[in-house]
Amino acid sequence: MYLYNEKLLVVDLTAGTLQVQSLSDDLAEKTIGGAGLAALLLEEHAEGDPVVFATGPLTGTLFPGAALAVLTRKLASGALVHAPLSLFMGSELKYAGFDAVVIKGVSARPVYLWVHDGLASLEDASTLVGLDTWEVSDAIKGDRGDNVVQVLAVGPAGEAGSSAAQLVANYWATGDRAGFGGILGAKGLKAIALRGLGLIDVEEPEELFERSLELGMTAAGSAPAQGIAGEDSALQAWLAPFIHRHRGCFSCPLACFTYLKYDEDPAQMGPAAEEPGFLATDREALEVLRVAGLEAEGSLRLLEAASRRGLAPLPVANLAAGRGSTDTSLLGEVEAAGQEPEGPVALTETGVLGYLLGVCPVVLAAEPALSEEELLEALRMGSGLELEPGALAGLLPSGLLGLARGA
Amino acid sequence: MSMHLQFEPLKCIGCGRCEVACGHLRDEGYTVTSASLMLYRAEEKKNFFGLLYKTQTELVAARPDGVRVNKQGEPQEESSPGGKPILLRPPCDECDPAPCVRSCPTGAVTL
Repeated sequence: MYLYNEKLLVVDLTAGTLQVQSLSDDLAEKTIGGAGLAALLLEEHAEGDPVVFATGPLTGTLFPGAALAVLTRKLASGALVHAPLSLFMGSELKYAGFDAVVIKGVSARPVYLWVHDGLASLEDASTLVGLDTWEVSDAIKGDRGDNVVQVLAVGPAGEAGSSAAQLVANYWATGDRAGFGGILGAKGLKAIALRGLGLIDVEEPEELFERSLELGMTAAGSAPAQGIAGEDSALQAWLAPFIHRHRGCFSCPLACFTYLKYDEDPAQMGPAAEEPGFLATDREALEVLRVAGLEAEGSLRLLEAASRRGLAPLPVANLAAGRGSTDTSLLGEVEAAGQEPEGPVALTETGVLGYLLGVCPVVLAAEPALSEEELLEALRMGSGLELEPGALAGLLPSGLLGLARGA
Repeated sequence: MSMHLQFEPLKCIGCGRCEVACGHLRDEGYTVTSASLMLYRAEEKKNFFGLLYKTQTELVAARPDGVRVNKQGEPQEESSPGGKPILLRPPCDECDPAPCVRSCPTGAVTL
């Protein structure tokens, strides 16, 4: 079916095997993709505590915000938790030739998963053990001879199996609040590396292209690039001395993230220092630190250290706020204490549909023109699948469906 | 200077829509291998992203420290080994309206 690669990758870490399976039209129709596809794959692969990394049919297209991939796993209670991945993680997997990856079992030796050009392999990661996420990303990009390779990295916190560990996107914090870093770390998986140079075929290319461009300009017009602080003037002022540039995710007209420099003059635009600062991607953590009255530079350095260690920023910010300190010795405590896994939060009714289609829920929430009708129309133009309004919500896994209803 | 496009790299947010839109013109699908301009995203730790653009005769690097134009065939200051580099891409065919311009949400790429 158009918009899909029609390929799934199943990785059994215990056996050390990789299988490529086809994604049937029937399965695509029944689940659409993303979190819906993941829920079904988790039922099919019940053994070996699987994690699913899935794109949606619109991931990798020019529909505004079509950057999303979703991580999904089942808790001991049987409930599903999901984590959104943005930046270039979703598009890179899609262009690498797979709609979704199932990762199950435990590897006897440390490995990383390398996915590219419709191919995949498990690579030795013994030299990566103990390295922080920045070192892991650099090492894999170096190994592959391509610094555009996208790396989802497990840090030392994940290797220790901490429930507060998150999967880090190249160097930056992700929306993983459900401990996927610790889950993959305990599986002996140190990273997932992606490089995509494929082609996504479209049923009605001109129609989808024109509509996507129109919607992109509408979204850009009503929500200009403001970075991580958005319209929060107090947060803007707190970060102001460090702001370098705002940055967006693949195919998104918004720029929700901001690069902050504290080891170099933020006005320096050329490539000078190797590691001059970090990309702020978690607004809530910043807000917790600011409201606690902590100073910005120490807070930013703490969040960078958390990312390197592969720890979720929010529990770090919460502990720092409680202690009134940004000392990095807090990180060990957070790692040991862990956190309760949390699924996606604060989504609108339309936003949550992005988890099926591969569109970022933030841009869907920010721009009313990106309605359910537009999502359905884009799906129809792209793939030929025709769904009635309201049908998508029925395909959401129960946890996300609850969010959609409660929004 | 024969550049068809104009760049304001400090307006770029690194979304890559221009690259995918240009590729769509050639392939009628979505890809990041066939465009005449590409998002330069090799130095992520420094936040040094921008655009690379190939015309019939020139290679243009539009990055946050400025726009540099080189004649093709001249030695480059640096090159990325990654993927399919700009050198191997087709040159801009100077279409108008240009999908790269129409897709840019911030006005970083204009005619």
